[in-house]
Amino acid sequence: MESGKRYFIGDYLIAGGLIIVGLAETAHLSAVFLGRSFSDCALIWMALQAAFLIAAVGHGLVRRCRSEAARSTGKPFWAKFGWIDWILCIVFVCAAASQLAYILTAGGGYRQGDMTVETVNSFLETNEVYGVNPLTGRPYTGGIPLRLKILCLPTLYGSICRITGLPAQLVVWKLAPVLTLLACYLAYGVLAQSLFPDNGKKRVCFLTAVAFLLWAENYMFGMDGFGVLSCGFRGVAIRNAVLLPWLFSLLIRKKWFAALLCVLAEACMVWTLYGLGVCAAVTVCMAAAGFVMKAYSSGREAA
Amino acid sequence: MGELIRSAWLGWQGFISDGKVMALFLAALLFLLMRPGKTVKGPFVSYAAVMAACCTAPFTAALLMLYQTGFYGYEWVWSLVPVTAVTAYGFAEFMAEYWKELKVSLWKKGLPAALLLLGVLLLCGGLGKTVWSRGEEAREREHAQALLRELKARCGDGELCLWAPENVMEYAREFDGGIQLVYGRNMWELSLNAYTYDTYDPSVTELYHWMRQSDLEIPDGNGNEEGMAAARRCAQTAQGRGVNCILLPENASGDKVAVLEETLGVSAERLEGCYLLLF
Repeated sequence: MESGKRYFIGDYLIAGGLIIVGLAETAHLSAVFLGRSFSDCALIWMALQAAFLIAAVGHGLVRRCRSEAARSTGKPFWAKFGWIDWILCIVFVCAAASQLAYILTAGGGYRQGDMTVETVNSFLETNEVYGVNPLTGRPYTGGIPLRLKILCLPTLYGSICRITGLPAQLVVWKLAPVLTLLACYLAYGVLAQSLFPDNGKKRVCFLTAVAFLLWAENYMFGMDGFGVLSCGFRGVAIRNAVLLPWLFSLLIRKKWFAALLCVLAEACMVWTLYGLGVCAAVTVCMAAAGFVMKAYSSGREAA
Repeated sequence: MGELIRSAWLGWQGFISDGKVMALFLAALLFLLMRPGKTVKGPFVSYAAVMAACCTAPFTAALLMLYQTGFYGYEWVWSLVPVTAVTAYGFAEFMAEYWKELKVSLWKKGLPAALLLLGVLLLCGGLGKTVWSRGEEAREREHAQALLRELKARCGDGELCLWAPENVMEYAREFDGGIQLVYGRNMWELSLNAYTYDTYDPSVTELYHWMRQSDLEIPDGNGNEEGMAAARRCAQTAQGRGVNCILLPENASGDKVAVLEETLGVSAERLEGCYLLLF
């Protein structure tokens, strides 16, 4: 298979992460529609996750990675690196490490228009999913819109709190953004492999530029960098920093089925138009752009 | 629709006013599209160019905002455009072309250009300015948490239903999910009202305004009959709503504190500069 078209280890790791989010959605919906307690919900998620990890890591992933490794006979991309490339690598690692430090030293995340910590605290306190209004701790008088009630991130974070005993603030403001940052670089790494399948130097250059761009973009709500560095726990930040770069890499490689995973993951984490979010629009538009370009080039060839 | 188009236009102006990342993105896009004899990776860059045009034009941007449920602000339509990816792609391609595949022997030509480009990239950001002050918020949170810790200690295992200034209420529910509030953060942060169908009774809204006036030292006629009546009414409303702990800001006038003490039948004590009425 052409090196730019196959699946990479990063693909499996991101897909695994998204499946864990999907399992959290399953547990969350069981609480929302079947009235299960939050402890049950956390237990269901843990059981599903354990089963998935055992099945995936123990069997599928390891086996697949081994067979891929056995098949690839070429030298690793860093074999051709000169000292300039290594300097770029070090610059990239320093930039990423400084971002980790920035997240870990923040007193809290950017909370404007967000109530994730309050929601997680409510789940933990009442042992119910949306049993009380997270902003007041009192029973709802009017209720909560269903389109928000079905989003699973608070349950995911709350389950981690319940299982590990960590406080909600730590999980939401530190652990989740750190994981988002790492997943973000994984996604951009996979995108770099798709854009430059045979050029490791360009890949490192691309990743270094991404690291600096994320710093530069940390000035305004809505920018990718701000999402990752200041509110990496939000669904929209995870979508922009992880789902979309990975989706673009999949679409460049024409992996349509895996792209569906991004669409589903977004529907679990972000308020979308009946499940049709940014990922769905990007998939359709990229497919259309590809079709138009192909038609245009074949028209030119015929002429 | 007209309102959405207007919001898209204003959104675009706001989007480009602080940093210059968008200018960098457009420069990278132009570079990738205009290179003679070079092919770009499939439809990736063409898609980015078309979508960027759609996000910039107010009418199409308004349509995209509608597609994004209308709940999200203008800045989120740019999620459809791979701004970071295309800019970094342009950066990598430019460096590879200018520096001839990053050859070590050409470092004298390539390294200054790389450093210059990284500098430009950082200068296009907000230069450290963000829309929120992390330090200031951390200090405010620390102060609020010290107060809340003390309140929880005084209440023991009993329920705590709090009415306090905005800068304490704001951090109460994130500090402890067991603390109940007479009104939540959505009272002053209106975007949070999208998360619930609950609305506040006018008497609860009055509590918020009264506390805010006390905090900001806005003269509200307290001391005269009307002001006394408002303070008494608020105390009764709070009690009726299950509040068992009132924290008045240190700016609150002595008259206000006295009226609350009299109405609730408790005496206030000082806590970290505030007046505490626990009943």
